[in-house]
Amino acid sequence: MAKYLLQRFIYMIITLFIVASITFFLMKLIPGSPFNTFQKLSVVQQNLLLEKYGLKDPLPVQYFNYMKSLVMGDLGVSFQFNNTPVTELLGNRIGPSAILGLQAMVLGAIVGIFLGTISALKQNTWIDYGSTFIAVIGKSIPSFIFAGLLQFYIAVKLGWFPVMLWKGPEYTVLPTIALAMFPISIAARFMRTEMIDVLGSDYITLAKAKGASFWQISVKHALRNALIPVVTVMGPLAVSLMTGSLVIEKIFGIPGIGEQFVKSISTNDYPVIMGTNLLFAALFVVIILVVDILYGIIDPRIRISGGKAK
Amino acid sequence: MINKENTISKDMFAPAHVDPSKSEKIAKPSLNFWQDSWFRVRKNKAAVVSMVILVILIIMAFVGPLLSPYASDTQNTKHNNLPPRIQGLEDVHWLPFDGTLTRRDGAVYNAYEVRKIDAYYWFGTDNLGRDLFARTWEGTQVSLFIAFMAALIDMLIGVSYGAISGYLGGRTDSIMQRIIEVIVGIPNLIVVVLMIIVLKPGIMPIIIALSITGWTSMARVVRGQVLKFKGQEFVLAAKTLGASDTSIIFKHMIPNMFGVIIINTMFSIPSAIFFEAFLSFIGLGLQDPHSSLGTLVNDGFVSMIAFPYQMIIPSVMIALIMVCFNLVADGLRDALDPKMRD
Repeated sequence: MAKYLLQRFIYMIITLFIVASITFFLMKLIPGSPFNTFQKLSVVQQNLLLEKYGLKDPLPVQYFNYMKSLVMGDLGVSFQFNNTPVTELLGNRIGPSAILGLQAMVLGAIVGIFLGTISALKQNTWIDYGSTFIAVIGKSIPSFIFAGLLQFYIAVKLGWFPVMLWKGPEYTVLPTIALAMFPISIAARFMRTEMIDVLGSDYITLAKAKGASFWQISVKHALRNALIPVVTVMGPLAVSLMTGSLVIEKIFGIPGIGEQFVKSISTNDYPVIMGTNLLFAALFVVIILVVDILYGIIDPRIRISGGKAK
Repeated sequence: MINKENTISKDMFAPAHVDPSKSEKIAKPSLNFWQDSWFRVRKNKAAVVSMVILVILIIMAFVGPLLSPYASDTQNTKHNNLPPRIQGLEDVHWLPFDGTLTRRDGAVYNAYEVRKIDAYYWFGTDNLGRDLFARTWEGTQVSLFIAFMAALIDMLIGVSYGAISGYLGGRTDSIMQRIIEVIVGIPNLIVVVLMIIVLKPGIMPIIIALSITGWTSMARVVRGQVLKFKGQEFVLAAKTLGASDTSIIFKHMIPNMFGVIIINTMFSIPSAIFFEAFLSFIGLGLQDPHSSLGTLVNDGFVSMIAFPYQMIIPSVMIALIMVCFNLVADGLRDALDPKMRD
């Protein structure tokens, strides 16, 4: 286990290093300086600004400095937001994004598992078809389309929830639903397949033979085993929530990281773009690692012991 | 069970007449792989309906702009923000094609009569007075083009990479696989966004950006298949007959994995459509006067409350295309993948 973890950890560091390097060099390739929008500045002043932020140093020096400060946890300062450190800027915005992401994940997992389970138990009935329909819709339609339609029909037309902004729990309802549609559909489809698989296995027949009730079989015996593989899809789902959060936060005007990212892209705010990229990449690799370890812990059949797995 | 005893009579046990000349007769016509797959796809009603809808949409994407009397890029500011109105359907008020709009206070009025305009814009017009019918279909055309190109490039890179990696094996294989592992470890959102920022938004940059990350799953699947075929007799036979490595890979192995390649490509089309719409939505998509479905939705959002049709029509179009592609892909997977057969 320790060897496996170490190996995974090294991979993680390599990936992050590559992401940081790629991000850095691509950012340098972009034409235009972040100060072009400051039209009032004279050439001398612009040069002074470039000098101050070290943008005139040779590229390898800039790269080295960036990497050095990165290791020490410093992501530089934003060009656009009055020299606010990027770490602080992102730190202030991580709250809404985290709340939204967690809510969507929990809602997605619960509803998805529920839909998948009932459609497996009631195979080929209208319940099954209904939940399959929801799964296909949720998987196919991009979250920003859902967000737009929910915003228009539920918030604007019916007025049940606030249209946008982020001021209290009721403001989180529509964004959470829009973001959760994808997790719901993936979890439901996966759960249905797993559940049908488990229900066909011998130990379920044994449970039936010994006279266990329908609920005992489906909840105590089948559901617990079917849940194990669902953990594996949670990683990719969390990642899809990151993508979704960009547009959802933009649509609903939520002061989260995604909204910041979209804004920074349009204003050439390099340090913020790089910082956000690294944050996303770090989240991504950590989530994948956690899911892999969790999977090993939950399912005794694939437990990694003493590095023999490789 | 017991009651059935009395219904069994002796004449039910007459010996069957066996004709030795017919014992080898094949009852059903022999089907090749494609006929068999088509037979299976046909049984999946959702996939068939989706295929028909997709064909109609693809035809409309090319024919649609010609049907409309207005060009997609002609601005007519006098006719801006007009709601959809279709001849014949304008008196059917439960359909959204009667040319009416709703004011903030809930009052419904006919925009065409109020503004004294005698014209029919089937999907309405945008804030510059451009015909949305033509723009929607042209947007569909662009979105589909990007998706097909991205999928095609994914397929080319993925198949070659996977085939080379699997066929050569050894150290080459492990290096190529480590590279894939690192690429998969980077969220493709980041790569795509960065590439677009560097390359400047446009049709080609979007296709390139989507191709950079899209091919990994195809490469993995193809590598697995090549590894499976590598030890089989037909490959050995080809090798003995002096076939070159290239012709073994492309003439002997790849035709045997068309099924998985098609399935994988079919799944990468909707994901390319999604990413294109997504990029347009965060402002990294096509720039005016070009339009894709993503940019149309994005433009529509600006005036969603006053002119909802500007957002809803392209949204519905994206939704329809995505659902249909996913259903067709599911249907093909069930039909072509031997593991999924019942």
